[in-house]
Amino acid sequence: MSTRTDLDMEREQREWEAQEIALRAERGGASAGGDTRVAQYRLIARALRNQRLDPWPSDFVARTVARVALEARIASESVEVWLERALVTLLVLAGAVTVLVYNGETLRELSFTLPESTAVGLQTIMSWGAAVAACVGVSWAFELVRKR
Amino acid sequence: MGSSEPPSVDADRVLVAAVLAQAPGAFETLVRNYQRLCWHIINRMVRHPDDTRDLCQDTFLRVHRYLYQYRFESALGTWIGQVAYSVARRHLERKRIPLAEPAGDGDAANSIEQVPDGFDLEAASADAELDALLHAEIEALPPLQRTVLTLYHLDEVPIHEIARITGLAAGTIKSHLFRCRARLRGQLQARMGGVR
Repeated sequence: MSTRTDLDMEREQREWEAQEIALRAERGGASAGGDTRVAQYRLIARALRNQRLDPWPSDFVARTVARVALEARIASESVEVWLERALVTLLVLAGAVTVLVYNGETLRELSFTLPESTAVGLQTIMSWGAAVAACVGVSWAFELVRKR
Repeated sequence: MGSSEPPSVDADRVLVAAVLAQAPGAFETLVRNYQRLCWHIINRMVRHPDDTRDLCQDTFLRVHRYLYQYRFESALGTWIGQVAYSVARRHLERKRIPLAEPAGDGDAANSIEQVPDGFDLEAASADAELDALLHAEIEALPPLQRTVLTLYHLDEVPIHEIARITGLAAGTIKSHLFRCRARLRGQLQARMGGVR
């Protein structure tokens, strides 16, 4: 296994300095000096600064922004669709479980007629109102979180 | 790191805040400011123009999605450069294209030994064959070395920022720069030796 000697390191340091001097001279547009090594590195630095890269399309910004906007919209919509499906599935499952567990008894006992007494009627209206308000609140909070 | 001077840190903070607040035109400004850097990194890594376009778009898509995670620990350009580099690196890995070649001392050591008596920079610069040779040799470098040289010479990105972009140590970047340039000089020497 070979080891680097002080002489190697010194030689490499000199070479590195020539590379860096050439780079700075090219950036600054300095006139050509007498050092052959630096002059050769200047030619290399010049080639590196004039590389033939493929140009980016003139409509790159517009296309990129449009794609990002589209993907953001799709991502947002897919979350909503997923939540909607999950809620519907949950509802169907809950209904099925109820029917299985109570053997249809509960369904028969359900009554959608208005309550007879005013006190009970007010209580029912208030509890349903609270439920509606809760739904609206949850929807509004979800929308707020989604916008952020 | 746009077409001229890189935006200042303060300007980047304002821009990031505007993008996160979904201000109209803010993201477009971000893309405009950093498309050059992103394009250079990816184009030097993958070289194919269509792949470059798609991967650049993927980069900005990721930038848009994860900008809220950016903590200003590095310049915005460096952070975007990191994303671009990792997108291009994954693309090369998928295509099983080696990112870099193992460092060998041979070429570099040989070329630094030889220094000819004289060298006319302007005459050499006007020599179309030499120009073609150097460009062909630059193109033939492995993706990592080609990208490092481009960032350093063309985009004037400092070594410590190239290290952040690529996730490599600054010493490794210096080593790549040194060896690639020495190797290019070796090839130049070989051609000039045949001419002179």
